[in-house]
Amino acid sequence: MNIIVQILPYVILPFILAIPLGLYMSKLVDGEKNFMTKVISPFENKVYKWLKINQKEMNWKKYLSSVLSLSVMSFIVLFLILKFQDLLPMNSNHFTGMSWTLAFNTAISFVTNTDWQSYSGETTLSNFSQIAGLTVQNFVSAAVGIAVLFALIRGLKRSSVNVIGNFWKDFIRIQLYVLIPLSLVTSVILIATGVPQTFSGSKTVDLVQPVAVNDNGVPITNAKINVKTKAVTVNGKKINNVSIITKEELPLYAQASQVAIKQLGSNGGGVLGTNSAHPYENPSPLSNFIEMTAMMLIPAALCFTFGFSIKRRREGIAIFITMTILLTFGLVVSVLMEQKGFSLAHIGNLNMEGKEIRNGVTISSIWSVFATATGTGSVNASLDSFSAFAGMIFMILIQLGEVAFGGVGSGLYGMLGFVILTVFIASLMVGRTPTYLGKKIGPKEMRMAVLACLATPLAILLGSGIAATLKSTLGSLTNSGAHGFSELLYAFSSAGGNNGSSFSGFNGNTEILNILLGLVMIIGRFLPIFAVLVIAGSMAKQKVSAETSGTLSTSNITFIVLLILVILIIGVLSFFPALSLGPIADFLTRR
Amino acid sequence: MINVIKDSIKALIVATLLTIIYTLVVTMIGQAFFNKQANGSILTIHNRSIGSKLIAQPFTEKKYLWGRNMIIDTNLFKTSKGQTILYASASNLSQTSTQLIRQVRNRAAIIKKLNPGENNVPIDLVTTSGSGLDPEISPQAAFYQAKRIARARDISIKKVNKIIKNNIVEKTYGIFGENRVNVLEVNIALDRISK
Repeated sequence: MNIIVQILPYVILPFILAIPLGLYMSKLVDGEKNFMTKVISPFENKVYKWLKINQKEMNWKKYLSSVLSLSVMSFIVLFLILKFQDLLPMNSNHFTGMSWTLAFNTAISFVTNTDWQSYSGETTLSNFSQIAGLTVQNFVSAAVGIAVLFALIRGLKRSSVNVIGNFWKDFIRIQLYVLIPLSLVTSVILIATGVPQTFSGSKTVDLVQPVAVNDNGVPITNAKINVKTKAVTVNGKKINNVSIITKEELPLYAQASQVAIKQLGSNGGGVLGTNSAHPYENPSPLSNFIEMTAMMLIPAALCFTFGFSIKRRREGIAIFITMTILLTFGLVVSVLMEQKGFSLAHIGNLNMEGKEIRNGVTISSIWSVFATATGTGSVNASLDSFSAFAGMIFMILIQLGEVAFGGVGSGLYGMLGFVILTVFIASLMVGRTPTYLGKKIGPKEMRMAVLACLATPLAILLGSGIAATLKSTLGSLTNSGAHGFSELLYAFSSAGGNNGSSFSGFNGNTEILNILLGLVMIIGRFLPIFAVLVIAGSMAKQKVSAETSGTLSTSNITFIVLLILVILIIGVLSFFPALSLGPIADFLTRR
Repeated sequence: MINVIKDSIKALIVATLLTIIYTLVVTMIGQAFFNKQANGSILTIHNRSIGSKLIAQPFTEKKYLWGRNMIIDTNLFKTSKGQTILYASASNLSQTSTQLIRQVRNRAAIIKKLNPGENNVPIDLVTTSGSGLDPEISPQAAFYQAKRIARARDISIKKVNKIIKNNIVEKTYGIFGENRVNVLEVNIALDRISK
């Protein structure tokens, strides 16, 4: 009961806001006017004019080639920025360019909306790379995901046409009407709660008390420190091999503007290495609440957008309920398991390891479920230090294909892939022609739906399988045994699911892992996009067949149960063996 | 084909410009209306900055309130003269890891020795946070150290407890987050009444 009271506020606000936002976005799908049109459309039209965009609608091939071409361009530009940031402006810390493989990995990661980070921003990236490189891609990759969903929705609702919308128009409008206004509001609120926003660059300040630190990074307690003679004594005994530190680094960037879009666009790529666990990205319980609302908002709203736009609200609500059930399952199990934690006699429960006091155990667990369910992948605690079982829930939420809301756009189009699969299975069981929203599901649509659903598991298993055979991978692990394997499996799940969170004890910044993880991200992103756009194209061409009493309902409870079963069965069949070597073994072997 | 590439370059330029304008606007609003927060919530005494309210500093002397355990990275940041600038990170160790358990036991033993007569060591003092830079501890962990601080400074426990009490931040609106105490602010307040 207590748990439910703690969880509710974090779920209620985004879900309430999701309905009006969903309606608002459905007008963008349909090209209708909304209350922002007056303000934005003059500027929007100027952009089109300047771009000399052909505003004609596209068929699926053209739409896909535009998506791919923009993504390739984005990759090239971001790669060059990261590689040659030392030659670019606003590099007050004089960081060198990234290595080839790290720049490759990072560029792919941000272009595919994954935002896996094999580096720490505060020790690697200039302000220019953060803003003109990463923040740009936070917007671009989110807009691409939503645009592909828009195309699919159009394909499902239209009949007997070839075209599914104009990608460039969708892309520009999603930014102007949705992402930028929401980010503006969110980032200003975040600054008010304490998230820095400055171009002045990092600062160093004097510590109130000088501190002596040994080689392992452990501060020497109760030590007398003479800063001038550099002598450190404890109870009169001299201590050697320690360094005396008198200054502290304060990593100041344009944090708020990037944190806002990283949460709203289910990117998750923060400015700083420890992401939203860092007090500068998430300073208070209030900022934590805002950031959690931001990450759930658009994915939840898109369910309603879908319902409004196809003029069958019940279908949108059915999907929303399905996602909510999966999310609730994750929330309850992981919160309970984490509260149980691991107790050490005479000391206490170690579940505070890796968590911040202002958030505490329960809220850190809720955040982590949100971040893995939505594909945001930002963290406000160390996922590596979560109990084995809670960590497994995060992993499963990613491995199911991130369909419990999922990434912006990608979550819902992934879910629609599962819906088509379920319709097909359910219809054949009762001997009916499989149709969804009055469109027949033929062999072509089925092949594509299977591709969309299996691309992610395939990429994850292949990638982690290859990495597990490499001896060098061992050097990347912080923990040993089953938990070490969990670190590896999590890394590839995160890459394949385009999530971006990590068990950060895992060091992904080696040449081979940078490349391998990068390839997994590409498969996990673009195979489903391809499949979805093919489906959109072929659905748009079909005529809508009339609904009869024999048509399978896709919005009742039976269907929701079936859909959840299909999602779970595919997930469990794909990942149970791997999970039993990692988190399950970790759970069973704990003392 | 060439048209598509041209279009994508143009679209990317638009996206980049929009992002830069957005970032500039947010920065201007932040600097104008929330100047202190936008610049890192830095605390100053007599115009000298002594750290940020949001970023933990390690305290190891008996007369100061101690915060979360910190794992300090001495290689990340250096001054131009090669001196280490402090920065910290998470342990990323599993709760059941023998390494973590050993470290926690060691830390607990040290803290217990310096706070004789107290009960079990509060868990937040022996665990490392997710950022490694958590600036706060629970009120219990703060009161636990009151006797030691009072003795080291030769002031009454009451005074120390009062300062801690004044610095307790309660859950936001009674539902969000946890009750907590900012370590640096308590220590500044302590230094103000007795050096």
